[in-house]
Formats: sequence, C-alpha cells, structure tokens
Amino acid sequence: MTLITPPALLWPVSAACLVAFAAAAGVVIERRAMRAVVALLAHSLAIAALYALLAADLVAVGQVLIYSGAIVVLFLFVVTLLPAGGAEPFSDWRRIAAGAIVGLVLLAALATVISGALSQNALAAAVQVQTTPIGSVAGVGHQFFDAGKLLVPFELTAPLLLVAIIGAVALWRRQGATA
Amino acid sequence: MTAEAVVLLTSAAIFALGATGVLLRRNPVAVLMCVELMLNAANLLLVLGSHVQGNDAGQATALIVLVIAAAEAVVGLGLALVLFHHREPADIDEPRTVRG
Repeated sequence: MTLITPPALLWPVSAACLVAFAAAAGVVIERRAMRAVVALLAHSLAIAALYALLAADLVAVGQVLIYSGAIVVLFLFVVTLLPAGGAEPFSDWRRIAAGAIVGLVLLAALATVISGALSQNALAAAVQVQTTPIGSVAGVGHQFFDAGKLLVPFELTAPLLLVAIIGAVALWRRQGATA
Repeated sequence: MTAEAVVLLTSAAIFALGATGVLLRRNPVAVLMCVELMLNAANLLLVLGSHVQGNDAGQATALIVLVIAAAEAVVGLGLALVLFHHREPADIDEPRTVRG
C-alpha cells in the first residue's frame, strides 16, 4: 500500500521540516530573547506550512491565526516589556551537560521507537484508504459536536481560557499593589 | 524515505530539542518558548496521525492543544513578568516559595 502523500510533496515537506527544526534550534540556542521570539515565529509558520501540506487546512489557518498571530506576538510584547530586553545569566557547564544528556537520551529513545515502526512498515500499514477528504471545517466540526467524543474537551476549553484570563489579571493586580 | 517518515522524525527531533531547552535556559520566557516547541511537536504528530489514518479526530485534538498552548502562554508570561519585576536578571531557579 502506498502512502497518501504524493512523492512530489516530499521536497516541500522536507524543506518545511528543515526550516521548522532550524528555527526550533534557534529558539533553544539564541540568548537574546527578541531573536528567540523571531525564531519561534519562523518555527510556527513552518509548522503551519507542514499542516497545509498534510491536508490539515483548518489547523494550518488556526496555527497562523492563534499561534503566529496571537501567542508569538504576546511573547514579543512581553519581551519588549522586560527590563534590559530579558538578559539571561549564562548557563554553567553542568546545566548545559544536563540539558544535552536529557535531550540526547530522549532523542535516542524516540528514534528507536520510530525506526522500529518504520522498519516494520507500520506507518504504511496504518494508512487507511480515504473515502472523503479530511481537514474540512465540516469534518473537524463533526468530530467536536456530532461524533461526541471530543465534546467535553471542547467545552472544557472555555473555562480553561476563563481561568487563564482571571489568573493573568490576578497576577497583574497583585503586582500593581506591591509595586 | 517517505514524507510521513520525515515529518515523524522532525517531530521527535523538535520535541527533544524543546526538552533540552527547558533544562538549558534560565530565562523564564525562554523556558516557556521551549515548552511551546514541545507542544508544537506533539501537535505535528497529531496532524500526521490524522493524515495517515484519514480521520479528522487528530486535527480536532490539535485545535484543542492550540487553545491549551494559548492559556499556558498567558499564565506563564504573567508569572515571568512578576519574576522579572522582583529580580533582574531573572533566573528561573531563584524562586523558592510561592505565596497565594
């Protein structure tokens, strides 16, 4: 069984993956907060491009609007509010070693699982023949409301956002009182 | 190598990179950005699964994760601003107690 993505899409997908990974590395490595935020923006847009290539149009639009448009810009505002642009103390070698070791172990574990799955061609076996195109607004909305499995998580996002707003305002008010 | 395998490996690499960054960085805002990287990697995997299975459920879950990321960023950035207000430069290891 062949995979769904046409072979012609391999290069665009690989390019978007490369940009996403390089920008993620920039977020982790860059010490100046402003440049890290710009790298996060590039990462977010590359991920949105990947979503579009993977036939997830609605999620791609959501990624651009919510992630690039709202979250990253929020980060940008906070960084401009920080005194001295958010200067960061240098990480000592123990911290760098700990981070590198955990990252490498995690990567090795994930790579082992993935290579096992790829060698058994489990990914190809999991591919279902598509009868209807996925990623439409109606299809995703059906998952939320009609299929019923995601109705409770969907409804719970409303109190989650409300609590986040109240938390942010409470933090700000206390800050204003002590300043 | 298929496009699906490339995306799978990228997702794993970005997740590991984000975990490294959370441990490596001391600036609370940078730590939050690394958490966002990990959330993005998980979301990418959800969308890939949805694509491979031909099922919209993964994409719907990815949208919920997007909302969770937004809520997390709001509260996390509020905490980071408070942290920066109290000491400069802010170090995420410095606070020992929370009061509330």
